Amino acid sequence: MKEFESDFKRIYEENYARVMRICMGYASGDTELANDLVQEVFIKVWSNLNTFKGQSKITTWIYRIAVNTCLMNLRKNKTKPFTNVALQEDVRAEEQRSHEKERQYHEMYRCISMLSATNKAIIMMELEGLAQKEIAQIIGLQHEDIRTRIHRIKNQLSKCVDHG
Amino acid sequence: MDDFERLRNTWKEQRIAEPSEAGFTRLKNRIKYVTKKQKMGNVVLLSTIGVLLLFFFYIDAIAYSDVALALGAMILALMVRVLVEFLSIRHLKRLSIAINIQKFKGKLKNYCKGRIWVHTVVTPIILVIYCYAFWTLLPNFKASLSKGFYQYIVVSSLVLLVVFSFFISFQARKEMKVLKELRK
Repeated sequence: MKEFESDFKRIYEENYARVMRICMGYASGDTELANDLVQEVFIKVWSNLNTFKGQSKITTWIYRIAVNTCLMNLRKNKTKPFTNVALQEDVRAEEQRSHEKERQYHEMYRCISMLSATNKAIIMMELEGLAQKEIAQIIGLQHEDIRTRIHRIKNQLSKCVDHG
Repeated sequence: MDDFERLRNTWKEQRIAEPSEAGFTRLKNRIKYVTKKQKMGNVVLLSTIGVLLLFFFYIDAIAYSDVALALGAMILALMVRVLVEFLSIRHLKRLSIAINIQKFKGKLKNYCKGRIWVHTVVTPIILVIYCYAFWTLLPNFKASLSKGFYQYIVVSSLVLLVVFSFFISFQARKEMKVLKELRK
């Protein structure tokens, strides 16, 4: 049990940031909701860890759980507008720079939120820097399909950022 | 730098707090709470069914009196609805969460379709049975209760019926919206 818990703790620490970023994307930047989702993801990691057979990388497995958990959350549908507590505190110190950052984050989440649930996952993993082959494995589509989709989503996002 | 590269930079610059010991402890407590809640849920459901069955035999429903039959139908309708909900929640929790996203979406779509069927077919049937049984009991209520209390029961039941109908239609529309989102 101790060994299981220390393995779980290591997984939690190593993957927390990437899970949080994915959840922030699905929560349209709502930190509170993203935190709830992260907790939900790691509860599922805990209860399914004994089924992980090492056939894929642990990160691939965790990305699947993270995206699937966020998809399940569509049913709850309670996102609030973008609020980043850490960012709000910084505003006091570096007001102008933070305002610009805040605007960029807001723009990014807004544009991501306009995509379909699967396209969100694809582009967030692309932004994370995952290889397209790994993205294909996580999504369950052919590598070629992923490449085409990424190209299309990039255009869509660029247009969104350009025209607001 | 193109727009997408700028977006990539913004994505990487997101300030994500480091995982803390306190956060991990909160997570462990949450895991304990969820496990306990699942066990408690099962205990509560089984106890409810047990109590209802005991009540059914206690009032000697098998004696075929109209009141007992109507009460039995109401209890049964409630039990079926609770069971459907319980099985539905269990089904959602047991969806293989670590499969690829396309497969999971397929399972989630089927689940949503099932929920829409529950909201638009099963629940209305149960509601009609429940209301009919309740309606057959009204003369008994009228004969044995004070006029004020009888009126209160009738009015509050009608209000509850309207509220519940709105709730069901809201739930069905919510599932339809999710289904539409998943189909994109």
